[in-house]
Amino acid sequence: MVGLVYDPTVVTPEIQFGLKSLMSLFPAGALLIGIVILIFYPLGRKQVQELQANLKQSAKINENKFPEEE
Amino acid sequence: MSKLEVPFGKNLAFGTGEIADQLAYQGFTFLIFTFYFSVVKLDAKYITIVFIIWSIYNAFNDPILGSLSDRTRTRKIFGGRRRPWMIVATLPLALVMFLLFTPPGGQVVGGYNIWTIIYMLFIMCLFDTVYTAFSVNRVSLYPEIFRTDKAREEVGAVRRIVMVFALLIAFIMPTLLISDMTLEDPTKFQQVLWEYQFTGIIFGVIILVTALINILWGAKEAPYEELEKKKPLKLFESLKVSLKNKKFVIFALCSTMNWYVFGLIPTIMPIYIKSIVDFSTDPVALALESLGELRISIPLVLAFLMSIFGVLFWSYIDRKLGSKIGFILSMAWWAVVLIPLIFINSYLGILIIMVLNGIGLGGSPYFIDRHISNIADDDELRTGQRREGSYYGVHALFVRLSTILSISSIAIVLTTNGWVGIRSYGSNP
Repeated sequence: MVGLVYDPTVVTPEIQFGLKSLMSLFPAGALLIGIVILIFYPLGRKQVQELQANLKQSAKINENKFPEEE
Repeated sequence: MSKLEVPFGKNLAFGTGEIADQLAYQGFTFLIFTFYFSVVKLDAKYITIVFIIWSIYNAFNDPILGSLSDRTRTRKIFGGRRRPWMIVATLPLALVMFLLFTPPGGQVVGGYNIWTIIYMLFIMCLFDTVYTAFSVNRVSLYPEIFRTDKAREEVGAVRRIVMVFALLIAFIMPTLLISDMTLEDPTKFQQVLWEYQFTGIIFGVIILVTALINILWGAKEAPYEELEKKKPLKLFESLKVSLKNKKFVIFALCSTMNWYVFGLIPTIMPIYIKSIVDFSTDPVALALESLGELRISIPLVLAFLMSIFGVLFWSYIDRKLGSKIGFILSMAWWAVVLIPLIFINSYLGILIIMVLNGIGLGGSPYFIDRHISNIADDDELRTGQRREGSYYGVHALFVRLSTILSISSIAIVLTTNGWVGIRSYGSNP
């Protein structure tokens, strides 16, 4: 029976290139896609600061705060 | 030095949950593929099918558990909505770490049968159910308990440092306990099988202890009467709201790309190191010969140790430039330093790259938590509800989908590059 089975004695240059790609090109490509997606994310620094200020104003901010140690 | 907003003991107890969480998930990621592929010798096409079905199961499991958590209000099992789930999930999570490595039909090398494949699928789904029940509830408590930016920064930094400690255990311990992780010597099959199982037991014990510390001293719930006042959305409403939230969807897609990398690198690392580095001639690998299988983990260990500095660095960038720009920069760093690996064959080269990789690696988990907290805050302003459970649940769905991408990448690359051996194991151990 022939199948894709791990055999440590058979490591060709093609397999090595494939494994290197999995460690470098694939993750780098995925991260670049992540960067492009995040460019469209609307919660920048200014928006987050406004958000925190609004939450504070609505007096909800401290109701679940961890109690100080006695 | 400014006064700490969160008492250090509480901060540490909350962070301790990161050990249970990361040890379970990263231990699972690091070992499951290598175990079934190189020790059980399961054909990669069956492994791919199992991973895809498992990921689809998770697509339903994660948001359902997240939403159920948001809707839970009980006085039983310590009370609350997150803590009871964590308590119920802890013991099964510890047990399943051992059961991951007890497939039927695995008494001889390559002696698997259909039940081995079914068992692998079942046990992976069971793992993910109990893991998610623990993890979604634990992470949901973070923005609920710590409501200010300063508190989240303090707790976020401790969480990330404890997480690195957990990752070190997850990646180092198996190489110390398992003598031949990829089973290069088939005569050691029974011994290696037991070593995987023993590793699972040790992981289970550590998970049990650290989860209990987290639950008893780090997990605080709002009073029952306060939870009663909350009117959480029903499951599908919650899913609809999460998926209709443009900010959340954009962030979740970006996070998926990060989790793809998180999943891919530890999964492929043992086979990558053993296939790229010639341990019989590489001078650095030879100099470290006494470390044995630990040499597989050293690159990951270096990366995660460096990520401690990465967390501190990105936390500084966060304060200066904000979470969005910080996240973009951390991903850019991460991507750029990984590219040279395509040219590198030496163990030293891999070690250097992984050290640099650690800086980028420290950014992603830090910024992912920061963004979900911000999204939950934004949602609260609009709806009056705290729905971290739903967001973390639907986020976990995206994360699990990244597993389909990573395992498919591995299967496609290995198949197209000709890793097709003749399966000659059968009943001949």
